[in-house]
Amino acid sequence: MILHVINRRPAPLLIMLLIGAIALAASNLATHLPVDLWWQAISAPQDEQLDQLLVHYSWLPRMTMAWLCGATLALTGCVLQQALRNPLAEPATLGIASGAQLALSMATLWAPWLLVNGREWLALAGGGVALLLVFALAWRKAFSPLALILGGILVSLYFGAVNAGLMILHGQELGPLFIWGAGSLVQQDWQQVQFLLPRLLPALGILLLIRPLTLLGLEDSGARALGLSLNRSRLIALLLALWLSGCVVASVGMIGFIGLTAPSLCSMLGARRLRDRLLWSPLLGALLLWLTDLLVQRLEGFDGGFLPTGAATALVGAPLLIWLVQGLRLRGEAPRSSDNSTLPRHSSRTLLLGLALLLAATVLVALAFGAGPHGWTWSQGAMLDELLAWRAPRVLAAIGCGALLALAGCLIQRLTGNPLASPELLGISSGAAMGMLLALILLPAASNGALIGASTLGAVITFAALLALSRRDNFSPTQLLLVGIAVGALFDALLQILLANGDSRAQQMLNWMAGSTYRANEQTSWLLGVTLMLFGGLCLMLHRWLDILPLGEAATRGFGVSLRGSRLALLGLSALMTACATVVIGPLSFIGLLAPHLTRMLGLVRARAQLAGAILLGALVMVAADWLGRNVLYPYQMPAGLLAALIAGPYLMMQLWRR
Amino acid sequence: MPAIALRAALSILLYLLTPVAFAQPVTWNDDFGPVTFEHPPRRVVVLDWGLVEQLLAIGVTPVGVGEPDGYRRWVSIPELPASVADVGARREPNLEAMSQLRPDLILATPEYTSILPLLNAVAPTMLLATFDDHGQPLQRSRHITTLLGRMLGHEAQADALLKRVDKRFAEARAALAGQAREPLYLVTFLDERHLRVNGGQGLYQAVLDQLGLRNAWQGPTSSWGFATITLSALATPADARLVLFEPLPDRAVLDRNPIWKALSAVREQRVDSLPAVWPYGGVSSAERLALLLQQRFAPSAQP
Amino acid sequence: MFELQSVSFSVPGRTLLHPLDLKIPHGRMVGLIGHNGSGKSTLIKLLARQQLPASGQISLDDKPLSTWQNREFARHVAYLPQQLPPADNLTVRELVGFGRYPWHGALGRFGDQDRQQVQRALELTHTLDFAERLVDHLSGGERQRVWLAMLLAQNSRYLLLDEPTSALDIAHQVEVLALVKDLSAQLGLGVLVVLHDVNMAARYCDHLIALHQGRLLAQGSPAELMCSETLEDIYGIAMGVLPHPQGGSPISFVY
Repeated sequence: MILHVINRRPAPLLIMLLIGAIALAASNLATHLPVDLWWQAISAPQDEQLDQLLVHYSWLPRMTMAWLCGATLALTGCVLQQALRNPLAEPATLGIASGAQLALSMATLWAPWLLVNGREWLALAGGGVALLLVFALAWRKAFSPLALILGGILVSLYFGAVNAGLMILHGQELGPLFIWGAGSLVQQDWQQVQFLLPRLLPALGILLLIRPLTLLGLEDSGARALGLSLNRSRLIALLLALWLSGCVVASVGMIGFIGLTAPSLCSMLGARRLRDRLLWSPLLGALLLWLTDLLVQRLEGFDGGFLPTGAATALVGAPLLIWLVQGLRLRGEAPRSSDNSTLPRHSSRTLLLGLALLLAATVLVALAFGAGPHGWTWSQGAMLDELLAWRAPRVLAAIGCGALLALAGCLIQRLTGNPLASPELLGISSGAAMGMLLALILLPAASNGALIGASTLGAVITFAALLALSRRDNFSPTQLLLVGIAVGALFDALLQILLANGDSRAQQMLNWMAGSTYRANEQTSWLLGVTLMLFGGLCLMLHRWLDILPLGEAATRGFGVSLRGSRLALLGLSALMTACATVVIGPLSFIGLLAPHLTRMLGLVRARAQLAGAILLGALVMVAADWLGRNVLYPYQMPAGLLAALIAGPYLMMQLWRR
Repeated sequence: MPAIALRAALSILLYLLTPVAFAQPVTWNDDFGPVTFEHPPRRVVVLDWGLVEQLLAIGVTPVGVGEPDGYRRWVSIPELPASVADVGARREPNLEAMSQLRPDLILATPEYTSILPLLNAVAPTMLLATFDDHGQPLQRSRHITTLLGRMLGHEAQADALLKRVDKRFAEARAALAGQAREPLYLVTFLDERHLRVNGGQGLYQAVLDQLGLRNAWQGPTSSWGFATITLSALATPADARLVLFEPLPDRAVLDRNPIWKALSAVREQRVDSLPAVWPYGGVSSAERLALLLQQRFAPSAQP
Repeated sequence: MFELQSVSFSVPGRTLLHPLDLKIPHGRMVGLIGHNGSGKSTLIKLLARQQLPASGQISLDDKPLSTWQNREFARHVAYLPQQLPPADNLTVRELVGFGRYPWHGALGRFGDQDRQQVQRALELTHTLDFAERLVDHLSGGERQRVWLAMLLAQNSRYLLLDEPTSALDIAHQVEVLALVKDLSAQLGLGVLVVLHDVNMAARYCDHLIALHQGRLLAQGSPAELMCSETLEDIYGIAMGVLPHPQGGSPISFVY
């Protein structure tokens, strides 16, 4: 009945994929068992025959799980995308994964008894909390697509930061979790299928939701005018999606990008209406995950390595996302800060002077006061001289990195007209991190210089790719952010694979990623100082562009500012500053997001004042975070970037929520 | 002129006060070349647990160790005295804390190359790898033990340790010989579905070789000597014996697992469990593993 | 004078503006009228160099648009977009000051001359009273005047206004258009304004250009265009025209 009203255009590709998958599966199965025993193994394996048992209890449920998870994730993505009118919504981008991961880490450390039978529920609870948080952040923006995605990134980064902190302190205990985090489809019986299958039944409820969901695709006012109770339909759809994705994440861990790519591919293939997408995307999702998993099984074991399927889908999916975002535009404007109608406007000179004094005082404390073997001490004289040798480079590095990231954040926020953009989100930090990771893998005993070189290279390559990819769209902010997400995911996948393999280099990466001034020395201080002088000066010189650009493209052109030229220059500048700071302090810190924002809150509104204020505030926050990190758990040290993130995260979430 | 005189006087004073002969610079070779010390080192900070184990085994107590609580939990033998100072995380040892211990030697592995300049600023640092691409952890550990013994004036203890270990290996080998031994899988469970199997260039493999035992895992491993695998990988060879190292997974969960139940080793009850032995240690951990294997598989030959 | 030679514009799958030849004189207030999608906005964006024509050539003062330097062009032509962008936390005076960019550029000094021009623009648009208030706190009509002030501070010879009255009530529409007409006469500016309301256009413009489905339908004085046949052609609906009871331009209505 329904079939003849379904758009069949995606069918040919699906059939091709299906044939490919079946062929691959058959050749894969043939390595386990001769063909004539297949049926026996599948229907009634003999107890004594391990190869038959393996097919029955490992190979078959693994395939079933791939189908189930792929289909469910794709369906979830489809529903989320429709309900939130957001082509990028899926469990990973909405923070569900990070929430689940954090919940499991915390339980492993402090409540291991919860893991014995309730692992799934823990993951579900963590994911639910994260999703609720994201929704809360986007609530006042009526779930505007960009607000949701930004909320998702913020929550993911924050939970990721907390998790990274736990891993740094308790890496040994958390080892096994890394495998789950990377998404492994390995099965040993039908238990997981039995767990998952009944829990997926609510998915049928989507049939009842097709009509309201279709209307949800309209703008809110339009849908409301059609007499639809928007929030109820949306809530039901969201709860359903949370439940489905939560169950999948809980049983096999994080498998990213299927929920994103399957529905997008379906639309590109011509499944335009929701009804069509709801039919085709689960099929495509199941096929995609199955194929990926078959390839993973084929690759596995070449190097004694272990390749989790979830990480593999990210490796495949991230480039796909970059390709898909070409020409994609998010509806709904970026969150703005103009609603902050009560911003004070102080005399910038007094304020800046005050900030400078505060920074000086903080630096003094950071240099002279701290925990030691005999408790907290103010050091003086020879003792201070000795300690300065250790502390001064770190404090200087903190100043430099904080200021550079703050500057880069100012530039990016003004460039994108989006007060919640930041260098981390451009993916340049991730690019630098990827360069460093590759250097660690390929050059076993890389020196500091080699690592810095590699990360700079990574940042530059990412930046160049970013420019090439978004040139067509005149470097539209949305595109940049999306590419940033994809690069970040790519890097994450790589790191996950290493972590899941218990690679010690990954632990080293974790430390560096969390943003430590530990490796700072005189050279880094010089490097940062010169960069700061040079680029900071350039930024201040270009302050007029920074004032005008937020007024929009039309107005900017109207003033005779070359849109392309100014954007290119400012993008390049912010990328370079991000790279310089990242090679020293790692990609994870909210300073680039926080400092410009705080500066605005203080009433430094015009570009020049904001830039100057951001330099001081960025340095101030980073020095304070570094000092805390060095002393709170003495002799153990928490990275400055991580502490900054832990402090800044809640504040930023509050801000996002309030607007 | 007076400055020189003063310095000369001081050197004489130092000479008189120093019990260890001359304050002459001494040079020792680590994995990358010569490292020079102003005087023979005595106060040692160790960043790697494997090296802590090797140091304690020859009777030298370090002044500072990275994550000593972790050592006590994961390595545990030889015992680490409570007096040893904590210098913070192994990955990023606290330089301030280290320098205040006034060490004259820092021991670390080549993985610390990237922070070597920082460490050298605290004290001369030697990078010693027990595990490298050549996969001879026992030889490496012997070399390290001898080297540390000579450097730190514990030559006799080092020799005694190596002799004792050799004797242990020989005894165990003899005790285990003459019995038809099935190949062993030496595994640690990560979770119910994934485990680590030891082999390749690791310490466990080296011990198996010493004892004349066969490893059932012939697949590739990381340079640390392990691979992450799933249960089904344990299916062949059919006569393999499973040796599970603690911590063990929930027995009830395992018993529900059809593949676990179907493994020939499980069906024919060739499953043993042993206490954890630090797989990234040196001769002392190797000795412990040899003893455990001997006690389990040749209890009659117990001395 | 703007001169268009067979200028067209299209997006994939649709031609928004068919090849068009047109001259737009300086020193007058020219109204651009037409139905939704007739190409009014496209045309004004092409003139403002916000978009590049698919074919044909536009020249300003006999010099092709593409050969003008960015800032030089902005010193001659100022453009007001249809949707006013938000001016986050900027005061009126600061925003109007941005209009001086084409004169001082990215690195030049904001000098006395610039300050005087800003002051003059604020006076001309009667926005001096709230010069120190935040733009985003103003009413729609006030905001429109502030942006107009910014265009004036730009001190250009042409103003291109894309529906400057679309968000305003009738009183403010009259206020803004009267102001523009005044300024045009007072300063000798060439004004091209896209208007929705044909009666407003007839009342305030010296010259009207009517587009229909991307083609030039008619142009001439308001009196010439304000007849029921032409209006019916423009809007595709039967319309009539009445004389204004107190003289002035005729008034159209829908039957």
